[in-house]
Amino acid sequence: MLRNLSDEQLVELAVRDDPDAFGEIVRRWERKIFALCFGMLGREDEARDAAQEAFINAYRSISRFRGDAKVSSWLHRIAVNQCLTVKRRQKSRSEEYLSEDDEAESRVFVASPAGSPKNIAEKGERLRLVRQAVGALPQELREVIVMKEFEEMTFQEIAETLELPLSTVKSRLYTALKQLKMKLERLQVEVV
Amino acid sequence: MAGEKATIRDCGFSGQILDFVYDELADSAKVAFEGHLSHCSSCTEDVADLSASSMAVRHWRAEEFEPLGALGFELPRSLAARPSLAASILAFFRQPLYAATVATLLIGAAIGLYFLLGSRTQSQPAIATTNSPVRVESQVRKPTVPADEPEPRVQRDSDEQLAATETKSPTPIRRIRVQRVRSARPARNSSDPKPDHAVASNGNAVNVVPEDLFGEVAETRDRSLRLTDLFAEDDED
Repeated sequence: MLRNLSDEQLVELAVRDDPDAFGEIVRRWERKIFALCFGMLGREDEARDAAQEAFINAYRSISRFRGDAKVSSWLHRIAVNQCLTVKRRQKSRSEEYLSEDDEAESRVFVASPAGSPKNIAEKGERLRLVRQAVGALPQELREVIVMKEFEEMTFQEIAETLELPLSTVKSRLYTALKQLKMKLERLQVEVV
Repeated sequence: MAGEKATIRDCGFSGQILDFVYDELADSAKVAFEGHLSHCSSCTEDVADLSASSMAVRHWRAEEFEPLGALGFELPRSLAARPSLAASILAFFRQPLYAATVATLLIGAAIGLYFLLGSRTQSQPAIATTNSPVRVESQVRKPTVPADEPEPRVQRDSDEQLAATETKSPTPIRRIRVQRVRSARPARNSSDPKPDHAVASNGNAVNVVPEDLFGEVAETRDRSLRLTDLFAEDDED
């Protein structure tokens, strides 16, 4: 029965303390939110924790959902904010030990003897570079590229979710892909 | 970032590059764009760059995210637990429609109860006792005797009955003659502090004459019946 209801109807039921309704919302969106967190954070364990935390935050604040935006937009916003919180924590934690920025850190990691490119499979190395390059993008660009590539949303869906004009979404994605290309080229040159 | 910020060149097809890369163009537009690519090097370069970046991210996703299992999210018990009764009631009344419905029902029930109790009080027969004379308006005002019957004689002396009353009372009282109440007399206010009992000439309080003393119980209970009036009439006589 719950499967036939819209997201907004499920939220309405969940507001009346119906955990099953919220469970249905989670079932519908968990893969996409998990993908979003994975794309934003680049690590499975952190992505799982962030997605879980995002759903818990959503449940706690569900009574404040006013229905002005779509449920998907609301969930995405909570998940992105959670990812940013995790990133901030990571940054402050790493700053306690290292004063170098992320890019310098990645260079050190890639060039370290233990992680020598000669000893690492080419495939795994390339994945790591991509992860690092995406992670180094500004948040608003990373958000768009992850929604497009991990969640496979259309431009229109991204525009509705982020409440941005369609042209802005396309412009951001264009810039994100261009910057990513440059970062990948730079990292590969250094590795080689 | 400002130095790296890419801009879409305006060649008339630049707005379709991303749609082409992500296969979101309509068939006709796709054919037209492919025709444009054959003679626009900048668009061709853009398509190659954007596709390479997109493929890299897609590859990362396919290799590292796709194999992952479901999130397996479960709401913590502390959050999923049923709320307390008070919280449930508060949550219920947060819904304006429910609150309005309950308020209407309560008001209706209160009004119904008010009228129900009121009708019971009115229909309840007065308990006539000599020790607690209760004034009942309906009994006082309504004639208890049919109009065609001769008017009952209220002014009666029953020596035996009065004697019996006197023997029950510890204080000797004077014989009281009670006359029929004049109907023209206005009803006294119920808040009138005057006592419900007659006052004998010696100052002692005397209960109203027992109801079995007279045929007309209602008239004997009328608060408007005061001994001063009776004595005044006696004096006139």
